[in-house]
Amino acid sequence: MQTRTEGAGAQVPSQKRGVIARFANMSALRRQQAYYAILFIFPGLALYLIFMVYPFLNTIYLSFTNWNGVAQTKDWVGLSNYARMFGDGAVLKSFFNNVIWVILGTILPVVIGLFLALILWSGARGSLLFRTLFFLPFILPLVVVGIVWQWLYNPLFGPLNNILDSVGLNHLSRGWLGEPNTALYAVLVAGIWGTFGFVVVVLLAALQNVDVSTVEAAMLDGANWFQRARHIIIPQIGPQLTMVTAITLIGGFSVFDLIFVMTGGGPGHASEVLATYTYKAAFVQNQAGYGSALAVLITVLSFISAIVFVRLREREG
Amino acid sequence: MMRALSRKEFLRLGGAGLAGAALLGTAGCGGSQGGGEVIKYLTETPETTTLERAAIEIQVNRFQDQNPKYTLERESIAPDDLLTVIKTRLQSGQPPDVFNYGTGPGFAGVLEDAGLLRSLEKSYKQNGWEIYDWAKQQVTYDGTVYGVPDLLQELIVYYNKDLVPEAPKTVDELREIAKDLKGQGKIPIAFGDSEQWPAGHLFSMGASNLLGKEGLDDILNGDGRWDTPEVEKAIDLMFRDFVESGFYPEGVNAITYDDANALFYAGKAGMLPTGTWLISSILETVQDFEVGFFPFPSIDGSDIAPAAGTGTGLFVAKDAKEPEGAITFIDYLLQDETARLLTEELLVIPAHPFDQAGLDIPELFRTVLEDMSKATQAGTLGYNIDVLTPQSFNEVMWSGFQEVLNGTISSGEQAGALQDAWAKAKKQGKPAA
Repeated sequence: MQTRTEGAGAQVPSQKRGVIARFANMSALRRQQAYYAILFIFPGLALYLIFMVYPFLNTIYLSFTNWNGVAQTKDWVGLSNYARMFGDGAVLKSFFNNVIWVILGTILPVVIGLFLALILWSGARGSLLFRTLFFLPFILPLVVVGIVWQWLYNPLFGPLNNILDSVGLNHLSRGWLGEPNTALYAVLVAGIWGTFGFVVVVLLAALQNVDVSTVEAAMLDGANWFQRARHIIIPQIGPQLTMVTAITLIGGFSVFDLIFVMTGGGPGHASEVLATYTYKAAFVQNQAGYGSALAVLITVLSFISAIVFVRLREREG
Repeated sequence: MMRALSRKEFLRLGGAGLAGAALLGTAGCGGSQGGGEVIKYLTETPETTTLERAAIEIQVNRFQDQNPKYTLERESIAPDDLLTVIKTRLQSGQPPDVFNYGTGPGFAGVLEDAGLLRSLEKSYKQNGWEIYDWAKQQVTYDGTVYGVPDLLQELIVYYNKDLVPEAPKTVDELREIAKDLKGQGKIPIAFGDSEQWPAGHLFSMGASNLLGKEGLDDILNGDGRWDTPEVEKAIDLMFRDFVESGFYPEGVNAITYDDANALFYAGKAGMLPTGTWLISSILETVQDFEVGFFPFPSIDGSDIAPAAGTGTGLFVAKDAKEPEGAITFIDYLLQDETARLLTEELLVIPAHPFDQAGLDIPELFRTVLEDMSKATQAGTLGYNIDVLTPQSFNEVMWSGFQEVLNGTISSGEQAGALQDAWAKAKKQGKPAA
């Protein structure tokens, strides 16, 4: 009885101590390795805590205040910033625009990128040249991409309208970025142009590990190009495909620079997304509290969409 | 033959050289070298590099020559950047001593709310600064003066004298001119609203004429409303009527302010509605035709109340390290001789009375200056609305005008939206300046 009690008593403190106890029980070599691990992790961890975790927690705190971004006082307003979001038509409009951006801005670059990667992988001539050309837009800052496309769309001298006019399609000429029906999609095209090169390069690298013999076997069995791609090749590059899709998807909720440069969210709120609206609220309209609540909303949406996507992929896998 | 220097001699000669250089430096050999006390001045970058050079000459070199104990560190940044940078800079512990900033409640009013500005009541009394009353009101918050409006701006319509024979006095005359220009294959009115704020200027022109100063005062400082037939009419004229008549370029919401200006400079458009700040650019760029201007004409028999406002104001940071220097600098800018120089070189309109006799300025600017002086004395100036209203209201105004231009919402709906935004701003205690 006594022994059992002692035994139990001996286990409880060791469980309580947890990590410390495990550390104490380590061999000298393992302990030294752990010291080094902590030493190497610490700078990165400190930077992460200071520049990511602390600002994020602070943003959550600010979202419960009515701070104007300058004043010394930050009055606690509870959930009123969050309640206000639901009655704000511009937030709803921005959210739907984000959904459109997430869907089209994820699917199209991935589909185009995958298609082009498969063509290049299958031994097309000038593979290196095309790979470089496709990747070039991705290395350009998005602000530059925005300015280039703004020029292409310019209703006064832009090449797009000039081409349409010269081939007799002048009824299609318009101020692409100034009309509510076209503004968002016009910016989206620029976004897709700036992204698909990244997908091509990543997937092309992944394709180098595909077992060619299985593809050849499928070919002998009479599988056409699409069937080989769908049933043989894509399953083998699944993890990389998931990775690029997740990156593009998460980026869809935080898209800012392209829209800010090309339309500023206009005309009206026709191309407004949550990030541009957040910027306006926090830095232009001096409503940092409300802007923080919107920033939290963007984070939550990005997080949820990424988790849902990864889970779906895992289930499919 | 040169002999080699010993280490001792080298140090002695080197020391003497350094001491000599230091003495020359303290003597202020260079005309623009300043003294030991540093004044940090943050301002907006002017429209052109020629103006920037002139601004440095007057604001830095001439000031330092006249005030040798000071060194003026002038930093100029784009106006849009100033909007986002200033709040952080003022709280950074290293604020500019003196800076230019918008005068309205959505601009300097917010900084004053946060206790970041120094009251200038005492400085006004000690230095006898005379600023136009209506301009001074725009930098007065809760009864205390916090700034010095440094320049006035009027919203006007420039016109190409080769294309437009005579300035219109009424909107009907303007319509006739515009139709004639269209017939010639020209764009009647160069207007682009990609950035959203240019529409605010057009609205200010229309609303100032239709409501007059008193009508706008009633809304901005009294119980007046935005959802009235006059306001609706101003919106409708500028953003529906003129669009449907084809007076603006196609795709107006996708055209930038600069592109619209370029249409006018190139002689492709007959008229350009904007502000007096563009005079220097026009004079530098337009060589092939003569440019005139007119205040926006009478709308269906209304008075003409040219929309105007203060460009920016000069403010002193609460935590300024050199507040006395900042006041000395402001006082220097307000001196008659400096005001004349600024007017001649930068083509700006100071916000205080000064001796205008014999100014060496281009004819276009002279007529603008005379027109502005007359309107100021007669008290007929209207308002450039967006510098007086909070940013939450401006956001509704600017984005809504784009929607009216597109035909997405009606003029009446936009007038209603303005009233709603105004009611909210009032509820939050953000009345106009």
